[in-house]
Amino acid sequence: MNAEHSALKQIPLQFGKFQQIEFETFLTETKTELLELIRKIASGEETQHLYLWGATATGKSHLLQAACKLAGQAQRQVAYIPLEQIHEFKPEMLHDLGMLNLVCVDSLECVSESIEWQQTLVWLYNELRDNGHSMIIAGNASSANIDLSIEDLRSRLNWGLVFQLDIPSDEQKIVILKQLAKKSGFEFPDEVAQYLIQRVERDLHSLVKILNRIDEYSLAEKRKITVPLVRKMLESSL
Amino acid sequence: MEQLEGELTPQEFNTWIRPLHAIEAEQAIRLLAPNRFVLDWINERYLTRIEELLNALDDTGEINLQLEIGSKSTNQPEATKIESRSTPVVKPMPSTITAKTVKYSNNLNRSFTFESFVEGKSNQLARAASIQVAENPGNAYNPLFIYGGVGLGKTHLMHAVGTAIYKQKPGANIAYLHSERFVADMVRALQHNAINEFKRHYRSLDALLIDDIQFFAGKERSQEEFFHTFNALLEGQHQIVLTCDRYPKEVNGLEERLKSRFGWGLTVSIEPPELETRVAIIKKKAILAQKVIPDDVSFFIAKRFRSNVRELEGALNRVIANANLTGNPVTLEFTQSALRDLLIIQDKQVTIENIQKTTAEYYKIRLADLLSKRRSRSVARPRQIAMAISKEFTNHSLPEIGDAFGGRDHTTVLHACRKVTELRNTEHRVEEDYNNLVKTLTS
Repeated sequence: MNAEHSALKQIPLQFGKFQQIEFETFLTETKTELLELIRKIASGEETQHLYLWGATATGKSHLLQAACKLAGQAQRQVAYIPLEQIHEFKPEMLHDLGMLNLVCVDSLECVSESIEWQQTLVWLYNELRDNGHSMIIAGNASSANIDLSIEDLRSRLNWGLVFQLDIPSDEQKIVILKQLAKKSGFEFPDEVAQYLIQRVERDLHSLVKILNRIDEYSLAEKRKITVPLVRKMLESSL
Repeated sequence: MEQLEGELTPQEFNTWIRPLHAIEAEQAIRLLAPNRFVLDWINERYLTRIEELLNALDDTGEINLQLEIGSKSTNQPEATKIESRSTPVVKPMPSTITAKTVKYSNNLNRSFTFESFVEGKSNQLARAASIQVAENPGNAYNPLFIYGGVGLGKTHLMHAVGTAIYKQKPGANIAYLHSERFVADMVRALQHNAINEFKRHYRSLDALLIDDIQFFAGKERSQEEFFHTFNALLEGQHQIVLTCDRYPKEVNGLEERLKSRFGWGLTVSIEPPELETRVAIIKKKAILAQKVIPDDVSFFIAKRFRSNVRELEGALNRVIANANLTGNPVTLEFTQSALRDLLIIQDKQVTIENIQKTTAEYYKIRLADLLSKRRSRSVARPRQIAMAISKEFTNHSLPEIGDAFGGRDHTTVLHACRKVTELRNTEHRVEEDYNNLVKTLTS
């Protein structure tokens, strides 16, 4: 099973052990209203269609997957559709998903070249709406700017509620990294976080990958996570 | 489930396992997949492991696992079924799908009725014609051709016609479908040697309702088949209703003989709703949402959101959602605050001139350079960002934006917008600059 199983792991975003996503990990001070709304949608207290947009590493996928997990815990049927993998999928995978309580569609920008996918998404949107079920779509640009050829899909993005996700500030990123580290069973000191954020790619995806490496490196070296240790690790990877 | 969740990535689990629904029976578990694609995916990749996990829980090792297409709500599996025993004995999927598996349904949305359609000057004629057609299918206007922009109610009227015909004549053979679905059905029928059944089905309908026929453009084989279907239905005095985003003669890539036939019945347009209709729509939607919306708020939203009904409803949805979340009453002040970012665009507070000036100041370059022909990176990048912001935050067209930036072509603006979208995703600096500029412009 293991060999067979590992062959299936072809997901582009590998955050290692930090991929175990919890809703609380999505940290933001400014979007508490959105988090509350998603909680309600996931639990079935509220029915809505949302469009979330923002640049890479603003937490869109994270939020969608956390919503799926919450919905699953509430015994609701849900599906996460990662459109960045459409080369492996067919639009038929969306057929009849309108019967699910919630469908989360990620990376809408990836269907800009496909009218068939866009049209199938319009059908799915209608189906979910008609059935009184919810949908959360995420994309990398506002509804006005996202590259879509079917205007019916674009106008549907404005039909529900629209939220822009901002890039977290450096302070927020540090808090997220510390939370992830804590969840994984180790401490990530402030000074190390500060040191890291000034020296590597500052987007959250890159930071989480490095955090993963730091954890492995400290275990291998059998040393505590300190600035000198991280410096040594970064130098050794140059 | 917990064990499997631990073994798969959250993405895999959320995509493939969570949509499944399990039903326990005596010594058997029925696993319902929402469609064939998911069923095949599960069958090929996860079924063996699911069986292993199930049998580990059961001492007898005799749990019978059945993978079927179906859902929690229907709990009615379709014909396709994969059954297995404790030692994985998975029956293969049928390699060929017979004509029996090509199913057709009417797809009518019963909530789209004439009663739930808000009438106004902009849609009066289209509504009246649709009612005529519904009362006298095949004889009043055939075909009925409704055209207009997105979100104005074309599809709503079309469903209303179908639903009304069905009410008068239960059992009537009616089909509502998008033109792309017609094309997909035809391709599927060709693949499965079921084209005769496809022809028989569509040519025997009492009413055929096809949405967005502009998507037939350039699909010659589908146009050919649709042409014959169209003729057969018209000959038999069966009703055809079509919608399109433009006047039939203006659809490029559509055969002339089809364009001319589309004009045989009645062609009516739907325009964006006027103020009174927009207010009426808000009031109707508010009642449906069981929310009290004061008149001044209805008028405020209706005045600010003009282009289509979806945009209008989106604004109302946001006000209601904010009110529900915060527990505040819906007042004019509350509404203005809840819609603040949308209103910035509506109000056109952000002008191209202001964007250019702010961008030049932000990057510490001269305004004249921003508008000049200079193409050095230090000027070109800020110019592209200013163009992208102009596209997003003003209602100016691409040629107008190009003109305002030193007489550039609209394709240059389009390129700038795409480039900036790409850079915002890949370069942190660009994303920060963009957001800082937007904050400065809109605060």
